[in-house]
Amino acid sequence: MLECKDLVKTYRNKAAVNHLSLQVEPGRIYALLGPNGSGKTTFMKMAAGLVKPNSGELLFEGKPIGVYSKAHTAYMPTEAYFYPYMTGADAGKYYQDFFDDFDPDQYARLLETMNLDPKQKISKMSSGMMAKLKIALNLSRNAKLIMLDEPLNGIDIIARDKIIDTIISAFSPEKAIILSSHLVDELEKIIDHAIFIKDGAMVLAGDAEMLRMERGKSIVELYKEIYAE
Amino acid sequence: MDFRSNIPLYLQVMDDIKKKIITGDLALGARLPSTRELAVQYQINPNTAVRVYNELESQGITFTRRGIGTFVTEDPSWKNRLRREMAETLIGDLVGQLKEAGFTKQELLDTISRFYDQPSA
Amino acid sequence: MFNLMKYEFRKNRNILLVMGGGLLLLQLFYLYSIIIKNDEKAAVGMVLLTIFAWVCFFSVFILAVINYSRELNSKSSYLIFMTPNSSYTIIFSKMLSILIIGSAMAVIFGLLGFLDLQLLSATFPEVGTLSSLLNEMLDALGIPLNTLLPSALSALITFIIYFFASVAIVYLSVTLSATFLQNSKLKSYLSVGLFFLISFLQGKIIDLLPVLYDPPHNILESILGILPGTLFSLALLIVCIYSCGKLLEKRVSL
Repeated sequence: MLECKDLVKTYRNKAAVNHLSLQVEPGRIYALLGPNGSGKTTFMKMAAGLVKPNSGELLFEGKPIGVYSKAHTAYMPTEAYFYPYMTGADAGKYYQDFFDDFDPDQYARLLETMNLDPKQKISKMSSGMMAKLKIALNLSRNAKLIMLDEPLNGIDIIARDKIIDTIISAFSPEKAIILSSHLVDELEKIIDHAIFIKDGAMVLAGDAEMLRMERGKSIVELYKEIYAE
Repeated sequence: MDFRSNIPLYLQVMDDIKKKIITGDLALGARLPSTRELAVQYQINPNTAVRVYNELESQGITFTRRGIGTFVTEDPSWKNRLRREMAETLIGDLVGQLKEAGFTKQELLDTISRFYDQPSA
Repeated sequence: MFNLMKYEFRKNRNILLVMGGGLLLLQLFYLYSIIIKNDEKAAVGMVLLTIFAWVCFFSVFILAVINYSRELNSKSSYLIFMTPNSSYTIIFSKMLSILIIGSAMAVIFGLLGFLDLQLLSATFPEVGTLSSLLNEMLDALGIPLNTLLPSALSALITFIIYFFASVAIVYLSVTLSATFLQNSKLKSYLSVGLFFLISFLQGKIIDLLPVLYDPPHNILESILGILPGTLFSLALLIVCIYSCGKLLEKRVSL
């Protein structure tokens, strides 16, 4: 579905993504793991078409990132990316206007389960509420590729369970989900595949169950080992 | 269910379902949740949930009625087999470890019967 | 495209409301002066309305600039650039929205100006009728009545081309600051500098181009006279938009 070959992106002469190659297949949930600044966000932004690579190849279903891939990719950035006037309902309307795969009923249901008021201005929301709103928006899209950047950051334990349930429910065999995190333990159980990146390059990747069996360690323990220094 | 990282996830979920059959939380012939519901219930990956049902079915513990869902076996002998399997696994593990620690057979039996009489102690 | 434009208008709503409110206040003041037949106040009102009209037109340009640079320099740019629209669609939606806002303003101010002048000549007959005012004005500009329509039309087209050439230069400068200059700390100053540099060069080149009908005998000739400059600006406009789109497609880093 998503194919990335020798991808490079530099900022101020520092490589954020450094010769990264990986493949994303439908029907799997991926964890993109690494500490802050390891290149997870830059990779996702490139796949979303918001940042262009300096070199390398990035294809979505064989086509370069562009209008087609954007129609089928839901990307949730870590930042607040809404217009100041927007309420939760406005943001839903916006997604409905631009994405054919947006399901307004699903959005209304998700806002309700997350205890969010659609009439509240997003700029007045707490960071936890905003995080839930962004999840609700992006998981109301029936997109082929769903990328959630740090979906559990700043979210309390109760909401965390709801978000994990929502992610699991949104998943289906034609879709691929990529979750990035620097807190791996909360994702361990729901992922198929782990990709560890460090300084913009992949250091370890594989089927989560295989990694656990081969190395006799949990993904959490592997994470600690890889990023120990 | 507490997650233990050194055992494959699907085995842990299978064990939990087996335990529910033994205790009667899941009756013989009862309908099991869909794979998606199972995934949400255990907060596990949906592919892992599929694997859980595949393994349970290949062992004969569950069966699928196409278009309807997955069900616990109706064969009553399974309950006993699962009980025995559970006892053998747990006691086998326990005895092995305590034997290594130098316990005699009598000591073990005494300890077990004392704990059996005051289960909550 | 339609959806993109809808949100362009939504983003500009508050500023447009402020403009509308200002216009309403000035217009009320003017009507009041007409009703109490105070010619001094009416004259003041007329002057203020004229100034206000020019301020509003200038604001449309500022609006076009601010909208685009804010788009590329804030996180809300994700909202637009993650939608399945090509960079050209995005640029054109912005320009078209500005064109519509500008045209709507021209129509509103034109219509109000016409009505206000009618009122003025009806209330103070000594000013003369509107058509005599208009004729005097046309005479002064040297436009015979039979060329009025083509003159007005070509003036409008020339104005729009020059206006959008400037907008396109701004877009290009801002886009450069978000692409090639993205790593520079001075990128916003650099983009302002670039704008002035390109505009300066544009002016220089237009000066070098020949002026036809020199000296012009009427406004039509003077507009046709600067045709080489206008065509050059049109070419510049196309080049700027093309480069903008290409940069957004290949280099942007939001």
